[in-house]
Amino acid sequence: MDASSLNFIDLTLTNIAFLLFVGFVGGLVSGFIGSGGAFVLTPAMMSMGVPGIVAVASNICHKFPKALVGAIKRAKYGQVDVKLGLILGASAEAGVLYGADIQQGIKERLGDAGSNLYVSAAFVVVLGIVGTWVLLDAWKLYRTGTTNEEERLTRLAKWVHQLHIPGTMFYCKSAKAHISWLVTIPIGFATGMLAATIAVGGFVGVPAMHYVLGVPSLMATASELVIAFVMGLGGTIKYGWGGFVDIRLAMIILAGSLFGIQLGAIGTTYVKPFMVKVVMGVIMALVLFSRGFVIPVYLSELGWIAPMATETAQLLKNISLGIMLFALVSGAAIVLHALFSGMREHQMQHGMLEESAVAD
Amino acid sequence: MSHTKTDSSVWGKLVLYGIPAVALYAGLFWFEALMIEICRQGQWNFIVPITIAFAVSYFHGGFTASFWDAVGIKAKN
Repeated sequence: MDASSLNFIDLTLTNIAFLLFVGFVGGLVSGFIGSGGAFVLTPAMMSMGVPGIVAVASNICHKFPKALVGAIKRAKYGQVDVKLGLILGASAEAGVLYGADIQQGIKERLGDAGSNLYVSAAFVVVLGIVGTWVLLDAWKLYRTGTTNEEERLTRLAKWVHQLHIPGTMFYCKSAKAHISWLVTIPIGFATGMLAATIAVGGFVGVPAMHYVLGVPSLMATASELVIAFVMGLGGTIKYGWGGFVDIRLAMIILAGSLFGIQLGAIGTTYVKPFMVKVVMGVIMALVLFSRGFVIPVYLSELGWIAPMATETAQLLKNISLGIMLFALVSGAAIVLHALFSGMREHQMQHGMLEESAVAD
Repeated sequence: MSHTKTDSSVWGKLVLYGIPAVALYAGLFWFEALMIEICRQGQWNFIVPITIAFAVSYFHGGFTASFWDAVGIKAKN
């Protein structure tokens, strides 16, 4: 596709305000769970009339600087495992390229409807499996009253820590164990493939780091930002080379998202690790629901089911976008609530300590 | 006394990062048509959006960090 044939939209104040808001909310969620704020931006930009490929390119171009700022902020809190992030990021880059090739192949064979169906089906399958797992884990922790306890290693993570394949081992400081890069390659690759497909690789990367590698959940979300930076930079070079980046859109979203990512990162210092699972699980479940709504539309466009009236198709698409926005806002509301109640609790404890010091 | 000193350093950072951040955004939109054209040409011009993104992340990132500090939202020690 030639970039010169594409329209770069005229920006209105409403568009700018909307992008700033979605950018802020998306940044807030990303700062907290390492990713998950960007999935709504591509469809949101497309609904403004931005061509699909420009929306994807501009979204990626705002992601890597956002991830960089978030990673630096969380590194200050000692939450980032840079080495693990870079190792996973390298294989994620390969996953991005492979995922983009698959996308292109489907688009050439089945057109836009086929490509959209593939993306929606990937959302439903991946979020259905991983999201259910994360939510069930959060629920189990809540029900057993162990939300304050240190996170336990899964059986799989214990096995990964015991695995020793000579010549492939490296020390992973966040997991406090030697891990084989033969284990990290498929994780990074899957993260990249998912990022190329649904724009949120972290929905696989973070749970995999936590449940498979045994990285504490807060460190997993922080290290995911390093992977997002590597993937985002690679993606921007690829799309920038083709001339698809609308720098204005990318920088407007970035303006809002940098406020959000700082706040989300601050939030992680006040919450229990269990909250990360709650936020991630809730967003995943809602997004899964959102994509489920549009699958019949694409099936009908492909002629695989009976034709659907245009009004019905548009209604389902609007409902889907609405639920996506709701998912993002819900995630952000939980993050803000966790942040402010954590701050209040901390101030009360601090006040009580000062009072007892005065009394002594 | 130290409180005042901290406050002034936060506000200082806010200005230090804020002015270049505003200048970057003003420049981007002042030369909007040129920027679009450069990005649209692609090839090695990909360096332009990436450079702008790094510059904005540095200055605006510094500004937003100081902003939350200035309004009293700080990380737990």
